[in-house]
Amino acid sequence: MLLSLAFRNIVKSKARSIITLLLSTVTTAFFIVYVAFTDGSHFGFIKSSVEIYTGYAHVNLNGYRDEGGYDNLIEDAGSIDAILKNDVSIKSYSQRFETYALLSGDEKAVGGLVAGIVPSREKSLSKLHESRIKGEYLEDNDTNQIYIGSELAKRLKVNVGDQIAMVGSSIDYSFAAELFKVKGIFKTGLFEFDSQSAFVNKSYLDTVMLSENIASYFTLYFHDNNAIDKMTAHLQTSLPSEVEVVNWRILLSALVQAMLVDSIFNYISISIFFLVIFFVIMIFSYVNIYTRAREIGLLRALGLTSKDIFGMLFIEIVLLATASVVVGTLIGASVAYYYELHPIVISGIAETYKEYGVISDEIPMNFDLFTITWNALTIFILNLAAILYPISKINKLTAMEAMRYV
Amino acid sequence: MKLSHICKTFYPDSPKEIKALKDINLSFEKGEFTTLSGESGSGKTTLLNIIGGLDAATSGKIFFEGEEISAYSEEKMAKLRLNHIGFIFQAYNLIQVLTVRENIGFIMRLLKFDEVAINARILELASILQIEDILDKLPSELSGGQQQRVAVARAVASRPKLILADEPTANLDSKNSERLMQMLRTLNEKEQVTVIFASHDRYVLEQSKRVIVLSDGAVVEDH
Repeated sequence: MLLSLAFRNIVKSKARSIITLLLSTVTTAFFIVYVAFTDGSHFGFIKSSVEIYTGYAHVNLNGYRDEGGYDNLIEDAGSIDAILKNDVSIKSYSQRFETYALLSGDEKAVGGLVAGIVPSREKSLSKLHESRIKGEYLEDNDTNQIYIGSELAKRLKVNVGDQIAMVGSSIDYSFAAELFKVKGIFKTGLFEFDSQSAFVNKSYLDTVMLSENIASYFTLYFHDNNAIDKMTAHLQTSLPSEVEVVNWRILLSALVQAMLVDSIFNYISISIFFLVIFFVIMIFSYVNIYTRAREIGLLRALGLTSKDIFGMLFIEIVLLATASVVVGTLIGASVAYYYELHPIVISGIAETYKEYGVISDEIPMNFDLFTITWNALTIFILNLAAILYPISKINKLTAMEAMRYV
Repeated sequence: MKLSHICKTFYPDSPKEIKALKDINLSFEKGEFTTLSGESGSGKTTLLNIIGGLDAATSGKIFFEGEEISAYSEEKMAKLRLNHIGFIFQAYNLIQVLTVRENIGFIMRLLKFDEVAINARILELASILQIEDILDKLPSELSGGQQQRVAVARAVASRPKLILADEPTANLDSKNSERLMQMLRTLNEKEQVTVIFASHDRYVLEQSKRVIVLSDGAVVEDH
């Protein structure tokens, strides 16, 4: 009976029901799109940072992250390579050898990171190749060719074709020096990285640094980088105990902290959004319910208890909230899904984005069914919660007071 | 039903204080057909509302079938109204979203009567009150007289022990008033329902077996 009455009230009061439906539908759709957008930007930012150079996980000797240096290198890179090659969860991987050396141009000398990479493999592991702004990227058979960051090129006052002298220490701590020709210049947008990094074909650098079959670490991508903790834990079991697998959350802990702060600001803005929506729905419900005071008083007079009135009004909002949240979710999820597949492209801001380490001008949304369901449920509960106060207020009136309410 | 020393004061202890009822002592027996009469503001509607538990007395006690109900909670009073009291309001007060048929069966459904019994009762009352042809209409499609007859049907449908009618003829012409009173009289005699009116309509007074006259919140005549 109450369900029928609630349903009739919804149908009879078309204007009121449509406004309630619209309010809740728009709120749901907006909220889902907003969260999909912020999550999308968030994940995009992390993805860019991880994919520029670091990679989703590293395999290195225990102690390498804390102490670095030549005492913690993987000395039998071939055996680790064999293990990684046979692991089906790994999509791509490559070894790197990193050292710090003095780099000199014709006029200036600066210290920087010189990394030996496998150029062909790096294409699927980092954005070095895509970040090229001048000259050419490295090849696997390059010898004394060097690929340097744009800021480093500025500091050394060199350009493509110019020579750079490298002076460093080989792994037996003997003197290592070589002349390189600048093959290409890259710009990732990460200032520190662009001003300190230079890359050389690893097989050639190994001859200079005496680091054949030696690696600082392996960088790798899993097939499912979203389940990074599970993947790294699984990989760890197949590696020797002196080697550790470290995921990007640890490698980029400063970024993770920054994202956490960003998330807190997001939560604050979402909380304000919730608060505003809660009060809008509550005030609207309050006005709606009080315009029906006479009708409610009549029902009380006829014998409905305050619990019955609560039930009837609650069923009304459950029906309206269900319909609006379902429609709002479908709209919001469709928008999120579409813009995940076809990210919003804000052309012309790519350069600005690069300053923040994001090398794409696409802003993808994040379509995640769990998040969407959770968000829809939140708005649904918000709708129900917002009506509790107006119902409790109207139920405090006696039947006669409600019937006389103007 | 028995009322003992009933007083009702609106806005107590304020400059707007109104003593609507002053020490009312009355008893109503089963099957009575009584009218509370008096000028506007005499307190008859207030007294009717207190009898029906729609309003609470400031002091005094009310007994229904020997049990004191004046201290009932709002919930308990609602159940008492649902089970035992039928209301006919001056402004009809039908539920606008329900059809005539649903309005008449509303209280029976709340009381979880059998659907067959509900439908039989609706048809029976529709026949008595001559509203068979409007059963599927909404209240907004009915005339005042038709609405009041539906209100009567709703009030008596579940066979309550007591029917309270507040100025039931106020919005009706003389022909409809006569018809309504005849119907209530018939129901009173056939089903032994106690009916208490609040009215100053001469025709209602003439039809009543007992008339209680109130003036300035006090009973001045009871015959």
